[in-house]
Amino acid sequence: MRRTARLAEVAAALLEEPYGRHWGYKLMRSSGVRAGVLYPMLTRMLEEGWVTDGWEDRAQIAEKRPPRRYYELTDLGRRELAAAVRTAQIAETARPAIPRPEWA
Amino acid sequence: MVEVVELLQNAGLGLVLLAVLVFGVVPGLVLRMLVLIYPKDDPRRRDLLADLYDAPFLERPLFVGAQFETVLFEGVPHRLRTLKRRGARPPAEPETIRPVPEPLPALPTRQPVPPRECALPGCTNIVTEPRRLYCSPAHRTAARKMRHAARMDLL
Repeated sequence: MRRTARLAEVAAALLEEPYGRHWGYKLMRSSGVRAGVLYPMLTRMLEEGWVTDGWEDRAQIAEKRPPRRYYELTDLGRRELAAAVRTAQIAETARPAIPRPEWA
Repeated sequence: MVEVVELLQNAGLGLVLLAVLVFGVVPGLVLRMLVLIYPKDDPRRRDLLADLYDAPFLERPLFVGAQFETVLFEGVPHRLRTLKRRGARPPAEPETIRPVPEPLPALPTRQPVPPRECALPGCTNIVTEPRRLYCSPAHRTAARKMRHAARMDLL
């Protein structure tokens, strides 16, 4: 899986709760990544074994809505995503600062 | 109830109906049609619909708009992959080496018919041909005449 800036953003959102359940819409909001990028990325994470998925128990839903699909990080996923976040942080700090022009 | 009446008075019935359509009915309807692009057994169909109802009421039209991209980049490739898989011919069966059949049991050889005498009474000639009863055509005719005469006697 390619280590992109979007992946780092999703990884950071997932690692806020490394042992919790994550929902598609909430993840979209917390990471700030578009749905068109996030959902295919979640599918790839599932294929790589970084996350597992499941469905909410219908009996435990108080509101009138269909059960949502949740994603949970696996050990492999926690390691890989933490590495992706670290790589993004290193790339961010290593980026040379743009020199301020004299007239500014 | 009072708020609804006030809203109707201020905004007008048409505007309220439009708001109900845009924020209430249309997002679910459009998303239901969009997810049909995914293959039938794809869990994303249920997933996106469930996430729609997780979104706040006013954000739903935007959520559905964003799903056009999801469907385009994920649903269409999934659908194409499924179609390709369905259209592909089933894998050819591995060529099997047919076992050599066992040789059939040998047919019984025709037993030679033993030589016999001519069927005409009184003739002792040997008939050489296996399918003939009489030693000659003349004896066959003679035997036929005798059978005919015997039948006439009976009548």
